[in-house]
Parts: sequence; C-alpha cells; structure tokens
Amino acid sequence: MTEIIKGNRGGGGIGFGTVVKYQEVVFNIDENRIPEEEIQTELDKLVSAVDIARNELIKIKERTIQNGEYTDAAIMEAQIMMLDDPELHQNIKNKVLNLHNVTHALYLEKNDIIESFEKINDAYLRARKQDINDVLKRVLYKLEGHSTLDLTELTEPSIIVAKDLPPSIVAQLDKTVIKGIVLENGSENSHTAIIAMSHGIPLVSNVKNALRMARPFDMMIVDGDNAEVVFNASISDTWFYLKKQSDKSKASERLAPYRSKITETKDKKRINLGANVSTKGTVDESLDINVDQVGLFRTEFVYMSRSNYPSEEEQLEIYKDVAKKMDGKPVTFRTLDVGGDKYLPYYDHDEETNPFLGTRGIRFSLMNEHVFRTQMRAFIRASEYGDVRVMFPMVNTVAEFKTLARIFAEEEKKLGLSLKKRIPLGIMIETPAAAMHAEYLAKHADFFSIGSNDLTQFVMAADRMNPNVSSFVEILNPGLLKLIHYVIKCAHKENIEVGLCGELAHDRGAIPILLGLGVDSLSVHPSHVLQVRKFIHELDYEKLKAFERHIYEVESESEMMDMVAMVIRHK
Amino acid sequence: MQQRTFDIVDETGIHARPATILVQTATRFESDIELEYNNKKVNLKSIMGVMSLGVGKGAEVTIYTDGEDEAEALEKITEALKQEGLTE
Repeated sequence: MTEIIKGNRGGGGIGFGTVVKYQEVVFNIDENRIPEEEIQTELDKLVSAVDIARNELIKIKERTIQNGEYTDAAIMEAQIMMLDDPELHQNIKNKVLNLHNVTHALYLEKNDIIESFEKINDAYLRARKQDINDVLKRVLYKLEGHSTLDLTELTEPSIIVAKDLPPSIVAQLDKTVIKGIVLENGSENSHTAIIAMSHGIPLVSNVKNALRMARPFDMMIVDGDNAEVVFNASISDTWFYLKKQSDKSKASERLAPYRSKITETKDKKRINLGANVSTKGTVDESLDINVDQVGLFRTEFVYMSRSNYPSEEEQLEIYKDVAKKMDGKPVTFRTLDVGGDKYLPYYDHDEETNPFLGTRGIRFSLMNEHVFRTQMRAFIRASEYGDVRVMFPMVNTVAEFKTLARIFAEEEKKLGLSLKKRIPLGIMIETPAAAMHAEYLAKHADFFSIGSNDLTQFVMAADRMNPNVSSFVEILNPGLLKLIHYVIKCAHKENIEVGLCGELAHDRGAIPILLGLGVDSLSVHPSHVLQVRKFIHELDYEKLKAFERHIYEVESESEMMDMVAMVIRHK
Repeated sequence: MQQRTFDIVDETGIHARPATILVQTATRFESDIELEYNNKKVNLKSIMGVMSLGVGKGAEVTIYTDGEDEAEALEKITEALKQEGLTE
C-alpha cells in the first residue's frame, strides 16, 4: 500500500526510482570455539574471502585510474597490500590454530591493529586506520556472505534510503542514476543536503522509520520541494508527481526572461547578485543565469570526496578553471572550512562534544598550517587567471586575521610572482564576536561577507540542524538585524564592501531589509538566483531605506514581518 | 645478516605512498627484512607494520636483511628510500 511521509526539505526537484537501502551490517561476532578438524576449513574460508575482496578492490582501482583519480588509485593499491599483509595472515592463522573461528579471529586482529594505530603520533598515519577498517570490514562481509554495497556501482534509477549519508559519499553519487535520497536523520541545512542540491539530487531528511518502511526494489518517489516521500508508489502516484514536475517546469518558464537580465530594483538601483558554488558544474549553471560574481566558493568539497589532501597543482587546476570561466567577474574563495558537520575522510578529527563550536574553519587551518599554506599558494597562482578574492571563515579577532594575512603574504613572497593586483583578503562575519568587533576588523580586512547561517544560529543559540529547536531560530529577529546593520555600518565607515551569503540572502522577508540596510551584494545558490532577481525587480529601492529606522522600532520577529509586508506593498 | 641505519629527512616521514613502495621492494626478496625504529622492529613486508611505526621527520631507522639475497635486498631498499626522498 502506498504511504506518504513528510520530512524536512532538502534538495530540490522530484525523483523516481527503486529503493536501495544503505545500511551498515551489524555482525554478531561472538567468540565461537571450533573443533580441531575444522581448522583447515576455516583457513580456506579466509583465503577465498580475501580473493573476492582483492578482486573488488582491483576493480575499484581500475575505475579510479580510468577517471584519472591517481591519488585514490594509490590508496586502493595500499588497501590491496593491506589485504595481503603477511603479518596479518600469520596472526589470524595463529588465532585459528588456537581454535578461534576465522570471523572472530579477524575481528580480534582488526581491533588489535586499530588499537596500535591509535597510538601513532602522526595524525595522517593515525587516520589510515580508516583504510584498515575499510579493508578488513570488506573481508568480514565476504566471510559472512554479505555483498558490500557500492553506491557508485548502481546502474538503474535508484532512491537511496539511509539513516544518514556522509557528505563524502554523496559527493561521489551520479545523478543520472541516483534519483533521490531519503534520510532518517539529518536536516535541510546539512552539508549532505547542500551537496545533494548542488548535484541536483532530490533529498528529504528527517523521515522517521524510513529504513523499516522501505522495501528493496519498491518504487519510491522523493519530492524534495515539498519534503514528501512516497513509499511503495503506485502508477497513479507516479502520474500525479509527473504532473507536479511539469507544473514546476512551467514556473521556471515564468522565470526564464530573467535569465539574461541584470539585477536591479524597479527604480533602477543596480544590485550585485552572486552565486554560492562548490563545484565546477554549479559555476557553469551560474554563468548561464548571468550572475555578477561567485560570492562564495566553498573549497571544502575540493577536499572531501577523496582519500588524501589535494595537491597544490590539483587545487590550482580547479581554482584557475573557475576564475577563467568567470571571465573577470570576482570569485571569492573561502578557505577550507571543515569541522562542524564536515569531516575529511582521511583526517583523524577528534570527537568533540560540540563540533559547531569546535575545531572549524581557520581553527583547523591554523592547526594544520601546511595544508593551509598549500591552499594559499593555489589561490595566489590562480589569481593570474581572474579576479580572485580570499575569505577566512570563523575569524573572531584582529589577531587571528593578522596571522592569516601574514601567512598569506609569506607564501606570496615565496612564489615571487609579479601579480598585476593585490588579492583582497576578507573576513566571513559569522560569529557574534566578529560582528560586535566589526569596527576594528574593518580596519584590517579588504572586505566582509556575512555568513548568515552560522551568525543566526550563534546569535539565537539554537542549532539550525536540530528539528527540536529549529523553530527557535528567528531569521528576522530584530536583535540579529541590528547586529547585521552594525556590521554594514562599520564596513562602510572604512570604505570596504560587505556582502551576505547564507539562507537570509534568498528569503523574501530578509531581502528588502538587507538592501535597505545597505548590504553591497547578496550571494545565493544558483537555484535561487532567478527568483531573487525577479523579486528585486519588484522592489522600490528608495522605500527600503526606511528599514534603517524600522529595525529599531519593532519588538518581535512577527512585527518585523508585518513591517516588511507594509513597506513593500505600500505604493 | 646485514644492517644499515638511515636518517629520515622527508617532511612527512614514511607516509602511505613511500610505505607502499618500500613494502613492494622488500616483498621481491627471499630474505627476512625488518625495519627498526624507536626500539621497535617490524617486518618490512608488512604494510600495516610499517605504517604503525609512525616514522616521522628526523627519525633514525635501521634496516636488517637476513637470507640468501640479503646484500642485494639492502641495496635496493637503500635506493628506494632515496628515490622516495626519505633519505639524502
């Protein structure tokens, strides 16, 4: 029977496909003594499990070579060697000779190795325990007769149902095959959702019991726009959602005339509208709709779907390509911003009780300075191909900014390029500390960009990812708006520009206020650009100036909303 | 048995890639080959053993080879260390 379940909105669009469940298999690895006459059978089982695992790894390795991902290929090669490690085999054999069954012997050995790796001082080598876990789990799966599900090997239109998916896995999915993602956990603002959206994969999160309800090979429909999942869809459901899909494309036809227009208000005030992008694909999409700049290039995705840090050359290729494509229009690269909900698969991140207040953004960069320096070099070299700007996330203080700027200058000097112009260095204003101290930060930075997602959740002290408290996050809270106004005034006092990238920039309530408060640019996901542009075309810029007073005159978010409605409707 | 001691000069020490090359080189020989660092000895034919030592920059390591082809093995490993930029 068909069942429709509501979740949280994630990626846009509607997808149709058959259910593929993605879940970790839980093994029952009890100690199980074997009789002496079974020793040889157990050892033979290991040999054939290792053979199958090796063949799979060779196949994956060949595919990575075909795709030109040589670092990944090297890691697969290392995994194959781990599989054939003579010490590993000897230790398992000894345990089987002591009458352990082979699954239990492998399990014990896996724990021993991982324990010894946890003692290594070097963070990079310590993180290799993930490879060991990966390899030995593959063998465990084979011993227990499970296949290892590799989502990149699917060929039929599929909907992935999972408890949660790490962003690194989502980044590798092929949207021509993966038609949708349904998650039991997660939230609409998670990075898994952001990547799904930038890949154009419909996603609905926070769908309770999805794994229990979904049956493999059932037809499923994911409506990312309305946060609906149709379990066991019938033919008539399919027709209904196909109709919805065509209605949606009609709506996008209405926006079509705005694709080539410039962004300006009704009274011809030109507004700078940029795109937030994280992949080369979304850059092309942004160029098609005539954006003024890339206001935010999230570089973490350059680092995430891989098995080791990208080299300076690999990064240069990507940044250069983006700078060239934008053809003189500014591209603001945000330096690596991991931590929070984004982790590097090859880095041994500490478990922190409050990761969003933990080792994030520049805090990670300053702890891993060589990684940061490599990225700075790639930016500096890419600046020869376009208008490159660099922005630092999670800066609180003037001292932090000075340290970052010093490292940048050192790398610039080392490279010794004769650059035509200075590369502007900016601060992402996303902590209350930075916002409240904007007056002094503005004396040092070349520009500001307000990161409204984090700033909002820090000001409201409510986690935007937690569905229990997400209603406590008021995006038009007067206190928050006053803080934003202060940041804008401080920037303008020092004659630097201040943009805003974050969910606020595409909110119809917030846009009139932000423009009224004098923000210099807005940057939104390419899928929002046309709606925002059309909306700006309907606004009267002169009237918006009144918000500089109004935000100090309201008592609550709801009064603020009424005020916006009044100002923009008032002819 | 033969042995030789090296100073590791590479910025990152014996990381995954050089470890792979060293193990591949060692595996080609019949001799027993061991790597010693910090008073711990591991089988140089075991990738997990080599990586678990966590050999970083400035480390002093000793290679032991023991068997029919011990001399050639030690030479080839010395070459591999140099080619990978681990030693000078």
